[in-house]
Amino acid sequence: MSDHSDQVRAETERFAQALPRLLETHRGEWAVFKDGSVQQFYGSEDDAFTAAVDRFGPAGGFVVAPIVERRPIALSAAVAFGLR
Amino acid sequence: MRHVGRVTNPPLGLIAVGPLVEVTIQPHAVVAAQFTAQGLPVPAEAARLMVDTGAQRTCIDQAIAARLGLAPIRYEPMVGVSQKAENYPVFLVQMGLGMAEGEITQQAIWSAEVVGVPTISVGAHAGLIGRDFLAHFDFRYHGRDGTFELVTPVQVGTDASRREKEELRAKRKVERQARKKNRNRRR
Repeated sequence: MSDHSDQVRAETERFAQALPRLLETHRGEWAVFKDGSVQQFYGSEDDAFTAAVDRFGPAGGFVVAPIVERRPIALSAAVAFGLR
Repeated sequence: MRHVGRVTNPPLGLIAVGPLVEVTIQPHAVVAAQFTAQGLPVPAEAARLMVDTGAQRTCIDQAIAARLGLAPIRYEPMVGVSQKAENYPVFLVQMGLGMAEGEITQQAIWSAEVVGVPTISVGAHAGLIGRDFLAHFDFRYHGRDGTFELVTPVQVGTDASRREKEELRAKRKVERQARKKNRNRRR
């Protein structure tokens, strides 16, 4: 993975740490998160992404994420069924 | 508008091959506009994805994301066959799907999140169309005659017009920035 991907991965971890606090006040909104803090909240993902690209560039190392609880996503029904 | 998939030798053909849909994947409109503004072609790739109502999210082979130069917008924990949650990159892209209504055929384009997963191209497909994508469609599976349909009441062109507006807006912004840079240089 590229440096940029590593940057986004690290930023995602910081976002996950901040998420419980953000849920109290901004549940359901979209955040642009960079340098360990929320840069701005938005009403839609497209608005958040557009603003982030305008400000930081397409590979600006930012995170665009919804303010919702993070739960592991099942890739397939086989996983939910418990097949190995 | 509808997208109709068809396989030969029904019903066994559909059992063997599955509902495969060819989509076009390219960067989000805002990023695409930056390519256009610089006179560069917008990278795009056609990929065959299998409709999987068991998948929560649409995912593509990470190799496609790499070829298109996509940058992740975050990582999300996904559980695959290993039963262990692992973080995978999420990309915001434009997905295009050939649709038709009567004589009219058009490429419908959506802004969509896709999850990049390590090489899954073990068969004829390079990813899965999950329930997040299907949320925009009625999915009709006609097992006996070997066809399936993705149907949407959305008029094709609505999203395309939106994309054009977004591209135009981004192009103007790049032009404004270039003019500003030139002015500053002159000073």
